[in-house]
Amino acid sequence: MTGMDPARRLRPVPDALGGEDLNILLALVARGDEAAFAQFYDLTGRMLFGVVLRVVRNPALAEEVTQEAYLDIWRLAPRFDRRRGSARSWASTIAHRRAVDRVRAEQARSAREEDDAQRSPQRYQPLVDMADSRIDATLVREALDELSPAQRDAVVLAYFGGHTYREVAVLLDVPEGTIKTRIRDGLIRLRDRLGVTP
Amino acid sequence: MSDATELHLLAGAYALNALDPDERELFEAHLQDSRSSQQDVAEFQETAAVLATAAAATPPSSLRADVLDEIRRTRQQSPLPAVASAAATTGPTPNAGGSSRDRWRSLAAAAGTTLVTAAAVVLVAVGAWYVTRPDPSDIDDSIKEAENVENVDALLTAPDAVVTTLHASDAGDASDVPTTTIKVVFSSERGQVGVVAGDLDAVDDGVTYALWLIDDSDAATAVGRFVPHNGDVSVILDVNDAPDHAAGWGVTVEPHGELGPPTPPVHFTGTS
Repeated sequence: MTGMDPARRLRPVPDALGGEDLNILLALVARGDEAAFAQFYDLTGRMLFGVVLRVVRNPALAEEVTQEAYLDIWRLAPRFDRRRGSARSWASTIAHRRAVDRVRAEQARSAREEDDAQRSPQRYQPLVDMADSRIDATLVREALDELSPAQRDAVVLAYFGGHTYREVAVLLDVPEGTIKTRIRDGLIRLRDRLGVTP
Repeated sequence: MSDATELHLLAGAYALNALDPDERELFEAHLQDSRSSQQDVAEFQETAAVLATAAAATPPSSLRADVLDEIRRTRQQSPLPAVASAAATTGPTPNAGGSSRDRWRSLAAAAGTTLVTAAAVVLVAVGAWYVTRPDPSDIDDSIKEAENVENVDALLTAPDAVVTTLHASDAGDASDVPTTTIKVVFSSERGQVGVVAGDLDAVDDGVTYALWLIDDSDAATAVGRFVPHNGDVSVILDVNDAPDHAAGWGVTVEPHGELGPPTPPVHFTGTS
């Protein structure tokens, strides 16, 4: 499970979501093509709603945040630069950031409301439940399984938990620098395992 | 967190949106100068996107109609921003080779916002800089002046020397506070520019002041960096491929590393 051999499993992720199609569609969206945007939505809706839902947890809130994310995608499409990454990566970064911004804002608000009343310990799902996902899920689960448990926890808490690495450090009770490194090393391993290229 | 290596380690956390706002901003500034961090961020964001696909879940069917309805009523942003929207989440644009140029004035006008996107400033010269600073213990105002004069004297004797005074671009509402100015002495012939100032605010670790030469088309070219010592600056910067004249000068605060596009806000500016 932790035996690492970088050459062993370097294979591309099956492009279930049509990565190149997305790049082309987004270029059309950038010119105000609403039909292309609808197609873009059809190809990315499950991914973006899924990741937002994973972070915010509340389905009604997830719907709202996903809508905001799509509005961002529409507005900012003219600035999408393929040289900096794929449309899929760009869109999921936008949606994920929308989600974490929302939970952090909520967190700050409820922290204020609670005033100095004792804060409830933060709860989190220890590992991702990927029962709902499709073809990529198996690959991703395998790749996650190959991380050290410490790396996996750090990546999962940060990404799906929507926590900052500082928060992750508190949750896991390890120094911030350690979490920073675990996230980075974990992502490097995932990248290599999944054969990801921008 | 003053050091580029240290910042480089944040690429993973950045790609997972796991930085505090302050650190995010710091890192984005660093990103503009660091090709290797840009590469890491791109790959890590791509990796995160695969994680996202694994979390896929079917949204309520009403969402599609809502989204499509909303975009019809929403204007798209310009593809050529002077300043990136805070919501442009994928990080700063790497230098694109300088095919276009940022307009300095639009940058100056956008003081206070986040990041300059593109790349666009052509980086003609990054001059080596040096500070001639005597033992600070024997500095009083007059000596300070004298030293400044001495230091920049050689430049002032150049037949083509031009002196420009830069003013704080945003004095805020503290109008009763004496405004700090920066004097810039430029000699095209010598390919040098002198920077003299007193009472400058100190800068944090990890950043310095940077001087920009503004040309007639309002494009800014990086000249070099300087840091005040006890508020004083007296430095000479080399200007490679110096133009005949400068339309103006600007001063920003920039993180360490290669000088990329200027980072708002513009702290001082003046026209020759």
